[in-house]
Amino acid sequence: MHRVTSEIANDLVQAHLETLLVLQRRPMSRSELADRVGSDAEVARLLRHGVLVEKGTTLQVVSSCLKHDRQASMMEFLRHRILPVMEAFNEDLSFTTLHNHRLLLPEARILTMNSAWLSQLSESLSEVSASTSDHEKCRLSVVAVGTTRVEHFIHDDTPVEQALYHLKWAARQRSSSTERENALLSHVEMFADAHTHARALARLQHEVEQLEAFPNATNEPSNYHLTLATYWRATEGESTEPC
Amino acid sequence: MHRHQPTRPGEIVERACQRAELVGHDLRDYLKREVLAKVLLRQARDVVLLTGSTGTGKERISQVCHESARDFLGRRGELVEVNCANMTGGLFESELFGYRRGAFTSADRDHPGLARQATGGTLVLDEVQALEPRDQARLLRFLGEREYRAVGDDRLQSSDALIILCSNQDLSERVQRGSFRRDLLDRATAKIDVPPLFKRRRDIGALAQAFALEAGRDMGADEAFYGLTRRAQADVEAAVLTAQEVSVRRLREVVRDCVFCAAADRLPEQIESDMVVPVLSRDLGFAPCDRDTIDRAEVEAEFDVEVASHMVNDVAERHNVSPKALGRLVQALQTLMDEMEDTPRTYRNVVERTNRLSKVALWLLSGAKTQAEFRRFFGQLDGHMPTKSVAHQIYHDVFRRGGHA
Repeated sequence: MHRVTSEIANDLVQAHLETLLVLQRRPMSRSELADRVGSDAEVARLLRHGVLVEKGTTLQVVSSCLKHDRQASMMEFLRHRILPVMEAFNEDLSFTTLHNHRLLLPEARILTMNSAWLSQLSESLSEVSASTSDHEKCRLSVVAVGTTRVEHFIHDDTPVEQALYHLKWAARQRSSSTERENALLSHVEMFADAHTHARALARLQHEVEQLEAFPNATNEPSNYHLTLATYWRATEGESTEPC
Repeated sequence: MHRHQPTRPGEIVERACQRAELVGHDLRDYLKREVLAKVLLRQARDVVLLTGSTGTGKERISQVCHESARDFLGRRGELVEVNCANMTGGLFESELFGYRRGAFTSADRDHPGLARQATGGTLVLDEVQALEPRDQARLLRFLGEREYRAVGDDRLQSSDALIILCSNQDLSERVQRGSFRRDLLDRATAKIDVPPLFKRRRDIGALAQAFALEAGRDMGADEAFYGLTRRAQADVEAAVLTAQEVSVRRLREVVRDCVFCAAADRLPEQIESDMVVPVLSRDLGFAPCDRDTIDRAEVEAEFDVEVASHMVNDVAERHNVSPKALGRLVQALQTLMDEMEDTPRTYRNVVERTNRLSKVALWLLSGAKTQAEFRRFFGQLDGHMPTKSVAHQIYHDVFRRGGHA
């Protein structure tokens, strides 16, 4: 997966996210894109900062998978990126999923969750999203929340309540220089048709199983809680049902 | 093509804010409420006390009050501003009320005075705390009946100007020290307190961006300069919050510093975080770890409210109140219920307690010291004020000793 890391590129992605998501579904000409983003100068910026690439006479997003890095405040990131996905969960709706995993991980593994495991997860999703098909694709958001703060787990909490608990702790930890690497907080956007959606969910499950498959010779309680939530729906301005 | 003319007071205040180039949703939302309640609904008859630290925009807010009154109430007079700190040695009376030719040595012609000039408009008295005692007495008489005599003239004149008293000082504290008249302070029944910059959380980034673009324009940058990145704006926000900086003017200076320092050889396309941090560190004592501190505090303060807001948003829309206000009310009620240790939390007990405490809170919000002052907080017309018996009951609920609140 191509990583866009500059501040300017991140801002451009945020500012034009809806257009970039549409661009993931189909290439556009420069003039059409200029109409959507406001000007040709803005298209030039998107190209200059590596968000777009030119392929012949059309423009495409550099990656089929967009990972959002937090730029502004933590609450702004939670409010706009994370909470909408988690709060969309409804057990009766197949296009939302939410799974809370209670894991027992070695200390060294915990410290690499935010780097190696997350990177692996993103690559995995990027590979799935890159598959082409003629079927209509809808927007798929994937949120991953991890925290080592597991001491107040309540069995009666609903999955969403548990997930929100994990999220609050992860947000606190990610805002602390001493605890930052003990938590993860990530948001990925991609496009998926029904088949890709199923593959993406399977990949998520596989990546978690890779963790749980790590040797555990003891019966100690969990030391890492991981929540994965997905929300598969049409883009802004269209219906909220999946395609 | 017919241009939409705003008729709702909120729209009118919003347009006035735009003309005054007031940046920031927090401040604009605040002014929509305050100008409506303290100026428009009172027909611009009540004296307004506009307080706030230096550099918080009192001058522009006075302009907003004036233009809102003009557009909503049809007041066509001028906006007249005077700095009371410059009105010493008898100058205040003659400038404010005017004088007849020959009234004193240098009076070589009639001068109508600022009160007359502002008739039908707005009279702003800035740095009102600087008035000498005898000028405070003169002003007090004028604010009472809105009548006055020009110096050297027997005729009684009147002015219906909207009067705004401005100060960057705590006038209550000045009253206690004996340097400002209590009855003059009490005459200002409509109080608008401009929040300091660090309390306008949502506005800081927008202000920083506006000032950065302004600095770019001053440097001759064309449209290819995009101001601050979102991360750089967040650094500025964190720096202002950590330093508890009150002044918008100071923020402007700091942001302009950031832009000019980043320019060096050539102004970059956009100012990034690593370009602003050194300036913020030097000018506001900012350290990058301050962002973590701010983030943690925000998560503690806002996470639960944000989660609850999903339902709150729907309900708020139905009741025509901001989700933020309704969310805070829910939090406040939760706190009140949590504190009911000795009383069963039945529906009746909870409602009785919250109703009574709402009225108590209203009294505290008014800043009133007497029942009459509390009644006047809601306006001068009988139909707007609570009855005397209601004010009496609330007064006793606020100040009675013993028993449960």
